[in-house]
Amino acid sequence: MVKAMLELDRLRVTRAGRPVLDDVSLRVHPGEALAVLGQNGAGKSTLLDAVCGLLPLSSGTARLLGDDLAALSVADRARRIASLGQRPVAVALTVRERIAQGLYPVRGRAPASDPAVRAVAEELDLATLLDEPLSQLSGGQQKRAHLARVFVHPEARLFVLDEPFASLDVGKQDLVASALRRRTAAGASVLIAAHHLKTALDCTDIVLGLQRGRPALGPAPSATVDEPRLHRLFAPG
Amino acid sequence: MTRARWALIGLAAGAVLAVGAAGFVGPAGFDVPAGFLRWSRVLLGALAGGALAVCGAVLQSLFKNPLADPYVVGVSGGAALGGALVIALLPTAFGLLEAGALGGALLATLVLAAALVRAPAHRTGELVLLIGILINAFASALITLVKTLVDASTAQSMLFWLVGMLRYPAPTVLGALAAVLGAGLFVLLRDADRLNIVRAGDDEARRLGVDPVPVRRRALVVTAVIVGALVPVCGMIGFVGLVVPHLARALVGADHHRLVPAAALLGAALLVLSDAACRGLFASLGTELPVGAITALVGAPSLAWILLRQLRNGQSHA
Repeated sequence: MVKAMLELDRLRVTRAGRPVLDDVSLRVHPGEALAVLGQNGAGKSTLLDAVCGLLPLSSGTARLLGDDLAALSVADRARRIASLGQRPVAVALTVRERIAQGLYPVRGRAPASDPAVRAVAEELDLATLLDEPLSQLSGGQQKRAHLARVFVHPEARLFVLDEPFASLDVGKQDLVASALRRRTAAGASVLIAAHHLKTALDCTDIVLGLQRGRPALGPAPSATVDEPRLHRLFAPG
Repeated sequence: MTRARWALIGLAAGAVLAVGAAGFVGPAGFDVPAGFLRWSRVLLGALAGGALAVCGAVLQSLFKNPLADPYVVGVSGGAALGGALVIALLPTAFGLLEAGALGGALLATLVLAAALVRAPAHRTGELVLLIGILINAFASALITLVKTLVDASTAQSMLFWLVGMLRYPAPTVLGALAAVLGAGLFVLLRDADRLNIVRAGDDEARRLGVDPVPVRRRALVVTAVIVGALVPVCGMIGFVGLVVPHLARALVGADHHRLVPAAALLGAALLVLSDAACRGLFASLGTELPVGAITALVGAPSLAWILLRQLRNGQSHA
């Protein structure tokens, strides 16, 4: 039996004593991508942050290739998981320097001249902007630079991305979706939270729908998620 | 070679030229030190200017505030209070004055860090200024109180000690300062990647495998030790730590690999030239201006111009 890349078992996260995520279990195998869907405040970002070790678990376990994620050090986790939050800060670096930071977890430094930096910049159509200050770019260009910082990770087994398609036009969404597919084709797994349903469903294998922090849809194969089920997930109330 | 590297080379050449030229600027009339004495003052200016600028650059990054510097956040005030208490209560020999200043700087840093530990990340920038104002007000009030309780000559020496000016240090003092600054630069440059990452926020740092707490703690301790070592030697010199990092950032960018050495070189050159101006411009009057006055006179409008320019260009400060 193939060992799961990511295995969550009855995950529960509380904030100020109240559960913001409850009873979430799922398995993602190597080469698979999972999309977490749900309304604003449904718990998507909380789930992703908990997997990345940014929020403590009240109960339940999260395992990466069998290893308890809560037991890993900050550095060990970053060597295995490449992740991006919903609202990364536009620090005063050039695009090249920003992308190179993604090499830090593995190399212990962020060499801006590394060939991997240019390669991933070309993958996300940033090659002509490498020496531009991040703060001078449009929102969509900044977003791609942040995503490139994630994709440059040379050893990540799991990519965790919160709203990777936000701020991007349709063409650039396709670029990012292709980059995700290349990572899964190479054996890594992907976990994304997304509001862009069509793009998210197109580039993932499994869907988990959350409502008020609890599973309300799936985990189910993306191909089986039809419009009525999505409609129920996003229905008000 | 990139533009930033050329800028660094230019700054290094400029700093050497500034130090060389300042060594030949005539002293004030009543005090005519020559030879090593004058050079010792020039070298002190280079060390102090470089150290203050580096501390300012690091504090601005750590607190994501363009107005942070050792003076503003209260570290210099803490050092001044520590030193003033030693002048009032203890002999100033045997390194006690230096120990007092260092203890004051570390205590002020501890208060700052403790007050910010539970602050939400998005409010750190504004809170650090408020806490700095409180520390400075408290330190200033205590110094005033102590001055009124001691005899006139002690109060006078306290006042003289607090004025930001370069004097003529002994070679041992210069050596000790150089060692402290060298060790501080080593730690900060070794942490340059981590400082770049922590600047983007604690969550982003953890995503990249960097625990932000020890990085911040190391940088704050280095800053406090440098300021604690400087204040007993040259008092409180303002604006160098505030303005120079902005100029350095405009020249070489915000990457700490380049920002730290650029701030050190630019700070050294500017303080040495400012002090030479203090000695040269007032020579005919038989007096000289404390260098802290020149740095404030030039620094305040410079900072206003830099901030306006950044606002106009929509740039991030750090």
